[in-house]
Amino acid sequence: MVRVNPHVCLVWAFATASVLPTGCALRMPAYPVHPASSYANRISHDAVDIAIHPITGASESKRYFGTNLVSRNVLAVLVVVDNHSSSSLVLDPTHCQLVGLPDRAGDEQLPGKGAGQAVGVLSVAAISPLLSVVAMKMMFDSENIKYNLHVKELARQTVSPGKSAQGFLYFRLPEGQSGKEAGTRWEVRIAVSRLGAAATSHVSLAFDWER
Amino acid sequence: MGMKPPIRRIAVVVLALLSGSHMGCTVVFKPRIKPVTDYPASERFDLRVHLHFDNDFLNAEWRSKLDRTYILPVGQVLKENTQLLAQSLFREVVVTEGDQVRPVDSVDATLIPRVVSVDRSLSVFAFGQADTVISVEWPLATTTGALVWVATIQGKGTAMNGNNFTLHNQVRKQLQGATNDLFAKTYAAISSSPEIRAFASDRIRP
Repeated sequence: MVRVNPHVCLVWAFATASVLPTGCALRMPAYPVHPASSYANRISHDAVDIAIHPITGASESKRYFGTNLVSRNVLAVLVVVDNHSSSSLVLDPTHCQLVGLPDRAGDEQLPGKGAGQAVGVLSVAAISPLLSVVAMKMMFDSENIKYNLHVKELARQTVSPGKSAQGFLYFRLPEGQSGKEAGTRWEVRIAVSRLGAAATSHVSLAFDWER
Repeated sequence: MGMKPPIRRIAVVVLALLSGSHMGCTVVFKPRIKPVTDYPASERFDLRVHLHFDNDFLNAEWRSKLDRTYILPVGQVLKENTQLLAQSLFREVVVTEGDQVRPVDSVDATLIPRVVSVDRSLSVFAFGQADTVISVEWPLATTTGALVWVATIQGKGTAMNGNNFTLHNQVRKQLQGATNDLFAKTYAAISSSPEIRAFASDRIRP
């Protein structure tokens, strides 16, 4: 008959309790942000520099978000706004858009694409529904990825003269397009307006999804 | 045999408790934290502000289904601290709550804060680092709805992840840290805003 030592049981119980809850920790570093003027995809207008940097590479995505977002049909785009003007701006992520464009060679790689026309307008996605797409095998991973998505997200804000704003927009790509974006051309429309303006205006920045 | 019955009984009870503690049930954290009151003394904006809390704000919480369902309500903590913050920033604050925003007479501006997110990062070990982050949007608008200023500010609190015996205390530490950070940053952002300063100057009656 196997005898159970109660002392061992107690030690085991407390040791177990001390490491619970279990799971896989995913601590992702903050994404390094530079002045807007240092990015390849940038535009300057009325003393306001605006830049984007789409996260299309798997390794970069895994390093900063803990998963390959593109393989899950999610595109993260870093937006940097430097306001060198004398007016205050309002940056509104909820009105930003991602637009698929015909590529320079005129190839039709995306469904419904016509020459010179946008193939579709994608609005910024809410993070909670994204998590069902970025399905994680472990709940702990999911919590940590959600945390990282939120912490790095571009927020609605006023950008005062001399100030900067930065953060990520998240777009849900069309279903079935994962892996087919290479070589395609896209445009990010950033909703940025002068404070007090009656209507929201957009600044557009195009980028080629490198093959 | 040398094993005294009390130890054997204690071992059985502890094992039973620990086994049962991981079955599907709900854990609601109810941490009591100190409100943030130590704002630096500075001149208040000469504004009478309508501060409104909608039900989404009042019911804000972090909720996650891990080994159990965990719920961390934050709405009431944020409400209490927001009132203190507003009273330290503006000459007069009129507070209302509910789903309907009813107009208030003779106010200069309206502040309707919105909880954007409440998140917790988790660690593999009980003694590992865990963060609680609360993100709140602060839109100050005129009585006609024109935006005066807006910022979305994150407050972060860090403590150990905690185990079955220390989890509640660690969550309290994280929430206290996140609240302190959120309201210190929000105070700094509002009090230094050139947009609100200009608006307040324009509102000064002759």
